[in-house]
Amino acid sequence: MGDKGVEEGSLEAEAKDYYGDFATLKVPPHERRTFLNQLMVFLGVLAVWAAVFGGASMANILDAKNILIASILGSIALGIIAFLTGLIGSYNGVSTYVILRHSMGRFGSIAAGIVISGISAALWFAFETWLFGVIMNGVFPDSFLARVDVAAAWGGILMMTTALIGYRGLASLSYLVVPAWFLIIPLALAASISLKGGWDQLFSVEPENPQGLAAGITFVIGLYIVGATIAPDITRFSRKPLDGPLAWFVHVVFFMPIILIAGGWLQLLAPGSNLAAEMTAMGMGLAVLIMGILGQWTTNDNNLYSASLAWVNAVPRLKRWVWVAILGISGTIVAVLIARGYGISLDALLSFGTLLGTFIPPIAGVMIADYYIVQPLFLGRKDPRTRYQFGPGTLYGAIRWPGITGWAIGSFLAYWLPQQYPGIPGALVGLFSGIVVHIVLMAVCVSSKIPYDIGKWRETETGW
Amino acid sequence: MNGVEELRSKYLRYNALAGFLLLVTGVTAFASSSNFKSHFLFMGIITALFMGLNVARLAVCRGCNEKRLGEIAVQGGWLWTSFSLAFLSLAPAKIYGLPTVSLAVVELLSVFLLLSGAYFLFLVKRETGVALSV
Repeated sequence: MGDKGVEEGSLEAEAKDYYGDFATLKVPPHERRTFLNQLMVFLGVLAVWAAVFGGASMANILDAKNILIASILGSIALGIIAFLTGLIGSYNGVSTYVILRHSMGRFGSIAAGIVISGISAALWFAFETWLFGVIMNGVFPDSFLARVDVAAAWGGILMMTTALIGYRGLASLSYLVVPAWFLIIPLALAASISLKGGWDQLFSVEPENPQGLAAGITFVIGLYIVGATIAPDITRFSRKPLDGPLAWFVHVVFFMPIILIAGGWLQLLAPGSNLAAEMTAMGMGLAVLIMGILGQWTTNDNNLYSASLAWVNAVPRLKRWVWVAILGISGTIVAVLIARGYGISLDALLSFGTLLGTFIPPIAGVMIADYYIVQPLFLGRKDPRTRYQFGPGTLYGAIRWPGITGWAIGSFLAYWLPQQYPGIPGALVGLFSGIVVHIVLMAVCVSSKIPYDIGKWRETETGW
Repeated sequence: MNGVEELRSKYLRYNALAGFLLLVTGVTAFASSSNFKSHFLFMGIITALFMGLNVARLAVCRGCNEKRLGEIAVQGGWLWTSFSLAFLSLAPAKIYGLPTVSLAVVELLSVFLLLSGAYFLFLVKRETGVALSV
């Protein structure tokens, strides 16, 4: 075991943006963006059919009133979690995976980054590319270009382009799509409700398998906990520290319920239907087409962007755009194979993605505990702006074992406890276990002078 | 008038004109739709509110530097482009029952606003150097 703790301030070496889009470095002041800009990027992530379908799943367990309440309360909980993770990103100007170098060590950050985004977000890219093909096929069932496999192929390549450009690409597309999306979806929902029996009918429908409000809140948190964990990937571009975190809070608290409710309420009124199909039936095929293409695009490019940041943190030499190309092309191929039924099971893919999702909330817990509790209270680093040091020459622990242990125990409990006690929310168990274990172990290490780092790692001039 | 003030005045005019045309689009759709009229009323109110806000931001931006002016102008450009996309894609829906002539007017105005919005964005980028992802 190495030093008690090996963080040091960075040397004055000049950082080179070798990987592109400041993947491993602090975002410089002239590249920082406003609250509105970040709000648009986050809303772009929400503006996707998959989120509407996610809301529809709630209709199986909740009635209309509880869908409303669960959507709002779950979104507030997500807003608080991501405000805390996002603030770390905006204070420090670096991505989630670089932030984790302090709480988990250099190799811990590589492992966590690969789990959070390197694999999970890349899988989501493949899934949403396939879903894009399905939506296109629903609008133009007889067109060759809208065959599920063909649409997935051109859609995947299309969605890769803005991620190749980087943050500028994500933001520009979101500015175009978001206002239109959040005008169209509430109107489509209102029309669907009117045509399917109206508001009185909606509030009298009972779900098929009624469950408590807690189950609904847990479901909502689980839907977007990965997004809350990787909020720093975007908030690192904040001009003022509160810009990004507030943008995350506003987008999830005020806009996510609209999307979830749209899916959930319509499902209650017309079981088995979905909003895209209903809109097509109402003659809104053009809106489904445009919003389908652009909405899916603004979400999936974020998946690819975060995945590329995680891989840059994990593997030296390859630039960020190369990772986007590798992940984008392979994700597109997987989507096409799913569409053609060539031996890749969608269920297996989704199960694997869900399993990985179990391992992610504890990482957010460790990150939050380290920045807000361990660093100021145990290590005496009070100023949030200088609490973490980054840049060429910075010395990190190779493995910070309390953080890794918090992640491991949190993941185990998040996976195991809900199987034993189905009412227990795995995502929250993982989050709070990660917080508690990391705090306790670091408290013991610091008070007993037990080394908490194994080995050392010095950051190179490219930020790796 | 200095260069920045001239730009501000020009961007203000463009935004005000776009806001007015969006309002005309909304009123045309509202007046001629046979079902769900409230949808176009809602779209008109939202559009007027946000475009009005942006015009006001440009109006009070006297003394702003070129970068700040460019940021506000680009945000306005994106707003009108996106709103026109919403009108363009929703108006043909059969549930609204827009007569052919009204639908043609709404679609033509929407396409014009969409293209002019794209032109305006690149114009502001060229004149102020502000990125489209501001």
